[in-house]
Amino acid sequence: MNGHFSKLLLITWAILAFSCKPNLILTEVKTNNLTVAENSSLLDSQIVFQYLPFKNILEKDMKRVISFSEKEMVKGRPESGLTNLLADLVLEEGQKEAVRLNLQIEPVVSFFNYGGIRTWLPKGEITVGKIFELMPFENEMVFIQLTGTQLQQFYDIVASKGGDSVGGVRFVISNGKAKNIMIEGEMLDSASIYWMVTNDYSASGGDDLAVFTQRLKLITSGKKIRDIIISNFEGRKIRGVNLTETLDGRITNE
Amino acid sequence: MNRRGFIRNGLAGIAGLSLGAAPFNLLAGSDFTTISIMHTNDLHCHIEPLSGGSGNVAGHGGLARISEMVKRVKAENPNTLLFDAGDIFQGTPYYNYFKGELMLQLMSAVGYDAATMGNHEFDDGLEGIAESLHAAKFPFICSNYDFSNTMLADKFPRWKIFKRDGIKIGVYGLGIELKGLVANKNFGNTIYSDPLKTALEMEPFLKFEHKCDLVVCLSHLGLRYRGNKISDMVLAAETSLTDLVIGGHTHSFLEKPIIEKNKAGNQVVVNQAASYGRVLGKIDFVFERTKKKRKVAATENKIAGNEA
Repeated sequence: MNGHFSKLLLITWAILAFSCKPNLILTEVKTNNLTVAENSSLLDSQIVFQYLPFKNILEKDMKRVISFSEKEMVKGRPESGLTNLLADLVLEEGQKEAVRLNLQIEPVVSFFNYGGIRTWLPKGEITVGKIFELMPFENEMVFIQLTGTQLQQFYDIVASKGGDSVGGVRFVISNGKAKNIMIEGEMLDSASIYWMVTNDYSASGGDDLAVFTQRLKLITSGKKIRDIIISNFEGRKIRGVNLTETLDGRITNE
Repeated sequence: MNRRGFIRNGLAGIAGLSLGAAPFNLLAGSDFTTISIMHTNDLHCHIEPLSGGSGNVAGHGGLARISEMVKRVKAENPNTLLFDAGDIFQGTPYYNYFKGELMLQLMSAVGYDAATMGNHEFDDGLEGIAESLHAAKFPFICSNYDFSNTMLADKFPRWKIFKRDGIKIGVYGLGIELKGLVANKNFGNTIYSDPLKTALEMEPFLKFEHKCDLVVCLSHLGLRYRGNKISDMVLAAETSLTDLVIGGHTHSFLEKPIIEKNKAGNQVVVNQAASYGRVLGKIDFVFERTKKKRKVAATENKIAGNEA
């Protein structure tokens, strides 16, 4: 009895539901990209209250001024103030570190991957927080030994990307390849062996640099790239030297 | 006809966040329903608005501002969904100090409905994801990453269906190839499958088997590349049933969303909201309950067709 009744109810419901159901038609799509800016909206105080205790912990550490930049430095290709500064800094600190660790190696070139540079340096005071934004990754400085042929392959990759953050080298981009590669004032010799300073992400082949995984040797430093940048900048501040832009034409387009 | 014009104006008002709740309330119980899909990508732990530096974006973004904007849109239209297309982790000291946990906790408070996984979610390995995941009250939808042989087995749905006002919105998620982009040890035994192949499985599954009215893809593939590399634009052109591709990875700033022709010749929306929460994408799908046949009336920024 009960079963019959519910079946009947179900059928009635089904007839009613389906007979009356209109088509559902997508008639219009309206698309917008809204700017998330002061003039479009206030801050949700509930969210601010939720992160405030964390912000306070961070701010104490982050607002320390470690350097002063004479210009705003933005990354760009084939070269730029920022990419050159970072590649040169890593080379200089890598050379010092090699001596400190008594590695008996002489790094002559450096690479600071373009994609890993996550912001720009503003003109004026540079804080610890800014370096965290610039280099948020916990990447470590490493040394890799490459053959001249591998180095040529690497610079060809750089050339195909239109330039990158490289130090200790000069070359010309010609038809997407690196031409006239000069290292320490001499033409790159495919039969020679070179030491490069870079980071562990690139050394492990990150950003399509599989050529680095074929390196002859790898030595880790145990030092974080970010810590190296911070101490280098602080060193300049102590010596009273501001950050300046060096555009020396290390990579040019033919 | 008049009424449809009114809706358009109402939506334009919401775009500027200047109008009150009137338009949607007036339409309650009418033959129109709007599903609003809002989205971000590549937040990279930008909890606070951007600090100085590059002039015109200073002060932009911030989860608290995104939250307020979403609240206001939801007040006007409760049928609003909020998605993120990945790369939530890494990018400010908040990540170095508090890892992904704080970000996921805050995004949950903002009311995100779903996200997909970006390559930077792997920055602290599978362990990094496992340790912070408890803070997320929304799912990470991953259709082409298979975590079965990892510590993250069964943590992520391959798809999810949201129902709003009787309308079914099916969502699938596509991640980028990890090899070469993420250190091997950081993704371990995660299996990556071809995104296009996955999309071609997911869209009929959601559209026909689950009778979704809308099919949305959350993608961290990137907007477009030179050459044949799989991207959102390739995906849009090669699929037939996906209505919206919400992208990330390339941090692409789009003046307005892209409307592309899909493989079936219908229109598909492809969008990306720059990065760091500077932009909030908002796509409104207006449905009409009618006994009339399918209408086709496409104009700029509006697409028609796609009968459910």
